[in-house]
Amino acid sequence: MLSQSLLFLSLAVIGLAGCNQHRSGGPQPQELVSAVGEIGSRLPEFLVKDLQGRDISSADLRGKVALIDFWATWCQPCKKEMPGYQKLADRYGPRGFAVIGLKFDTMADTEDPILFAKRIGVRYPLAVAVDELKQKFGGIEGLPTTMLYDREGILRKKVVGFEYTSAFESELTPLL
Amino acid sequence: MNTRKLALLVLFSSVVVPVSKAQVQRIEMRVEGMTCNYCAFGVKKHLGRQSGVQSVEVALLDGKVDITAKEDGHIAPAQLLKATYDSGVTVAQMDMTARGRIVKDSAGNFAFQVEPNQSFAIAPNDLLKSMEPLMNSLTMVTIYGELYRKPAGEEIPNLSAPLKLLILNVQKKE
Repeated sequence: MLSQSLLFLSLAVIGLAGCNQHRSGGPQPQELVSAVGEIGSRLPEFLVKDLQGRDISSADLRGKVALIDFWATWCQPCKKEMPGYQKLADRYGPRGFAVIGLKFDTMADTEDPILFAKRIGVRYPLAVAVDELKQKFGGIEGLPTTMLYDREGILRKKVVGFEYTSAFESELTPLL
Repeated sequence: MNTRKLALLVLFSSVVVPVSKAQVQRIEMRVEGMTCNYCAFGVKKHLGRQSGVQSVEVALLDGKVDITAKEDGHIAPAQLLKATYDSGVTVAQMDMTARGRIVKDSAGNFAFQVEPNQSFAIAPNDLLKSMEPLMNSLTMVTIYGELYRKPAGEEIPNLSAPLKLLILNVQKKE
């Protein structure tokens, strides 16, 4: 009985060792990947025109801490938040922080979005979030939705609904 | 601890019915400026992150927000009022359901005491007169009342002013 058990144990150890060799020699098992738009997921590739017609690309954000904010002219909480993000851009831009605003167009604008931005003091790039772009970020359920990516393009914080600027500031400064 | 004591403890804990504690149980708000489903969802998420909040229900068409407190939590209506305004939505009216005691301070003013450090000054009305026997007694009451109504003509109300409770209904006396 004992010898049978020892034989089984030996075979099991050899088998496991064999598996281990196979794993190290062959293709690595797929890494755990976070779902798109979830914490830990990657900044999607995108190329859009801003409201002035200039290109904005995910490539521009490479190596930067990036805040992506989904907003709309008819969204009151968005209007409350955006000047705070401009302050963060002014304060931390020189250290590698960038903000991009992606505007919802599911309803008619309450005012010209360029004038809207000017009126509330927003100067960071703004573009229209077409459906395809929203899907690249995992779909947007509520406004505002704000996403903070680190320098490696990994999503570190996501907030749906109004959030205080200070909450993002305390999250982003360790990433700079 | 011997087995008998342990068995008694288990038996005791299984038959004790938890007594609901004095607390703000529910906040209902009528709001203005929630213009779309996306914004309503954003308001729901923002308020859901506030301390002591168990759940938030938002009815976009009615402009209503209904907040339920965690059973063992502490929610501060003044903080929720500010958080709602912060989220870009105007509060037209805020009502509260809470369990506590009616007390009278040394100056003779009535207050609804929910916790030792949480009480609301009571605005006098006819209902309050009928509640005088309850004052400063150990009787707990669950009340429904109006805590805030946006002052007419004020674009940006003074949110730091203390909230005053107008009792509209006594739901339960214990």
